[in-house]
Amino acid sequence: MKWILPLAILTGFVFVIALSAKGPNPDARPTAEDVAGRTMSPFCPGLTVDECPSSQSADLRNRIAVEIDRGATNEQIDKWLVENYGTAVLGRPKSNIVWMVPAAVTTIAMIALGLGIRKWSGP
Amino acid sequence: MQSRTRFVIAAGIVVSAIVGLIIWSLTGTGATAYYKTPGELSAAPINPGTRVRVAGKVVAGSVEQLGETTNFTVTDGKGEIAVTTKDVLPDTFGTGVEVVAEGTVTEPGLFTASTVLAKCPSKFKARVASGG
Amino acid sequence: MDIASAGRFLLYAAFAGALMASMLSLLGYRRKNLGAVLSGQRALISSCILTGTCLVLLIVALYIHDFSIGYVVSYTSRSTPKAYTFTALWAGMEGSLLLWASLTAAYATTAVVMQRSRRADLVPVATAVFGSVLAFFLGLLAFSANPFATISPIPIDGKGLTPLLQSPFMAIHPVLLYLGLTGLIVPFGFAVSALVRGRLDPRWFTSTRRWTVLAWSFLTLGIILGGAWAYMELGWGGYWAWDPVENASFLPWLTATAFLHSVMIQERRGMLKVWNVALILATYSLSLFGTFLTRSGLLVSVHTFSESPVGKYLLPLLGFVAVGSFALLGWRYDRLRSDRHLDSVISRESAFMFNNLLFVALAFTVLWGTIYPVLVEATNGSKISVGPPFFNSVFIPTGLALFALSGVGPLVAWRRASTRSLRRQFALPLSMGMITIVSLAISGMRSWAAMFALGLCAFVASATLGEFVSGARAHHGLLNVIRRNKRRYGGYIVHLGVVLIVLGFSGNAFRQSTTTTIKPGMSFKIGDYDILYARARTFSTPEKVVNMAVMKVARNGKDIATLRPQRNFHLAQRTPQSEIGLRTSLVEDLYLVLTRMDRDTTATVRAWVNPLVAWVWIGAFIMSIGMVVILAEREGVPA
Repeated sequence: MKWILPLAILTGFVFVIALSAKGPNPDARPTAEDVAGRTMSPFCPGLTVDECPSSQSADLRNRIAVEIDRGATNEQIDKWLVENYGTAVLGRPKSNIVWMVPAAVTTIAMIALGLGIRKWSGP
Repeated sequence: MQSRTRFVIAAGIVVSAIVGLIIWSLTGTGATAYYKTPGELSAAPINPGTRVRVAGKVVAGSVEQLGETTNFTVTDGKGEIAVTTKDVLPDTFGTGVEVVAEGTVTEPGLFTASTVLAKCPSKFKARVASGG
Repeated sequence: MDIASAGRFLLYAAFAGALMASMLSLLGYRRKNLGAVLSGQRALISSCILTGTCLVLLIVALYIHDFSIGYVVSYTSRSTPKAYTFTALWAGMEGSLLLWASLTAAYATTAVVMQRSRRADLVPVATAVFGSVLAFFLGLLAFSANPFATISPIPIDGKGLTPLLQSPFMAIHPVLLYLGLTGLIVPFGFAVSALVRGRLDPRWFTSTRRWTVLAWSFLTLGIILGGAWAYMELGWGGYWAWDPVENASFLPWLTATAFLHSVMIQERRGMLKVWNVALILATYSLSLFGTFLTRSGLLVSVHTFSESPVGKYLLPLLGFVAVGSFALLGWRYDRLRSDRHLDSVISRESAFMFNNLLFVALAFTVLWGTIYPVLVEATNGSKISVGPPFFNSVFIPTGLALFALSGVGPLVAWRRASTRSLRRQFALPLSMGMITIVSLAISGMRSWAAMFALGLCAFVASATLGEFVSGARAHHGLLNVIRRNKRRYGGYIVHLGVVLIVLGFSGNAFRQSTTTTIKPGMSFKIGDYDILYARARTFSTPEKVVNMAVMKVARNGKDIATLRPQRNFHLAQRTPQSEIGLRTSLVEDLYLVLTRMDRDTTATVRAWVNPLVAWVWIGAFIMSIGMVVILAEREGVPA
């Protein structure tokens, strides 16, 4: 009985993480701000296009807006960006593999903690 | 079984599982290179007319402006290539700046670029210098 | 004798001293020879004095422009303002390594001197650990990255300091970061010592607790001021970009924060002995990893890494520290049984355990996201990015869960919390949180994350303030209760600072930005602001050509400010640099960046409205008050 509350909270938490880790819907049409905020600037290492103060980035923001006005979906705009500026502009790697390692480690840690708590709370 | 042995075995299994997962996650991410370096171009020349991107640093003293045309040399420490372009250069362009030029090899050792992207390296360097 | 040769000589001597300190202490410990132990301590003290002298010499050389030294040539010039000559100390690798070594030596020596009579059993091995790490860095400095290396012919002037480093924030925050990262060696050394002796009673961390708190405080403030520097100087409208360099200092902060919480369980309940040691071993490894990552050139490219001497030597050290200390832990594992039991899953102990789980999972995820691109590039040469989209999607939920726990913790009793007490404790804070969320939803807020964050702010703030109220009732006055239990209430003050910082973070959900290209006399709108580009000013100083746009800011038809963003061209470095125009208030910041200024004074301006940013800095200030309160606690007094 006393396990229900922690387990419920934990499940909710995992669900929220999974939801937020899930990328944008590939077929939906994003706004230019969404795309600029998730795309890494090809000009300033480590900054997104939205943040990059370079004047070249201002041009890129305009080009993104043009592509979106033409009706580009999330998937299409990402493809267009990769063709023009390389895979390094995607702020999150395309494959979901990058998530597996931290997810696995966290799961193992959670299991270990659960086992530990059970052992410690025994007689 | 001693608790130490059990700990070592459990830790061993967990660590090797994670290492395996890491190795697996690194394979299969292979992607075609987005650009070539001057060194790669001089080692394996490509056909004139093929569109490629070349990335490297602008060599000190190599920049010359002739009307609308700018000529400069790009290096990666292993090779050099002369670049000529009519593109309007961004204000971050300058000596030592990392650039990505897109265009074609017009003759051996000469690259005609339609666009030139320049990086703003100073900010990143300053971050490194600051240690945070 | 000139500065360069004196400096080189002193570096060799300091290296020898550190090596002797490590060997003599170990010998003294093995043979139970008090004389050797004492000599080891003296060697460490000498090495510390010698390293400090080297640091002073380098500062003097920078100050008097001794251009016979290569480092001075590379990072200063005659036109560098005198006040900023000492920031050149961390402009390059050699100087920053010397600063790192000096601070490490200072921390280690002070800890040894202060603890040697009270913790005579732990000090010898700790001295050996300090001596070895110090010897490593001094050896690196003396033989591979010597800041006193000379050049000839001696140039007339130096290359100058990058303008980005010429800012007051830049003069403070790197020092704070170094003070934080190096200070972690003290608990690390004592933890290794306790492991070698095979006894993990809480004394190893009670005797170093103030050091840990001190280092953690410096690290926290260093990270936040680093954000402030980025905000004021880099001109991209934000303060945190999940840059690998930022992550490098954030990683040890995460595990150190976890440690500060989990040691309380060991103190109170005798649990988690192994875990606490593991956390501090990981924290120091991560602190070394941060230096390695930022100094090795690995982040720029795999290519620069292979050329950098620091990369070549730091990686083995890092491996040795990480693998060696955890091997030690494995070797001692069976001696480290916990002696108490967990009474209930619903207790403060388990809240702390979840806190630790989240901190460590977050640290691992940030570490993974930081090194993944490097690993990919090293294995198959392709360039990928792991940027803010990845980090934020993990950090925001995990950070909010941790934040919620900081409110839950004080409300749950140690050992076993009864349902009745839980109901009573949670009633007020939980309803405050709910009311906040509901009223925000009614007032039309659309961002779920921000709404939840603000609701949590109300929850945590009322839970924490409730502790002050009930404490003040029980102990005759607020100041009295804080004075009686400085650690606990200092900690709560830190949590209140965090509440304000989360308030500041939540403003990110409502940022607005726009880019316009305009001529003098034209104006544009952002948010409630009307911004008129009044005129351009261009003038030259010996260092730079200044292009300034004078912007008159009005809100609802009333003039409120004149901002002067600049785009300057620095002559020595031949690079353009922006100076932002900022109007800050408790509600929102107006942030203007001149990204381009043409000859005909046409300006391209990027403008942001950043709500609630000021609360991040205010929260940091409150946190530092809490840190001072915690540090005022005398050692050995139980919580």
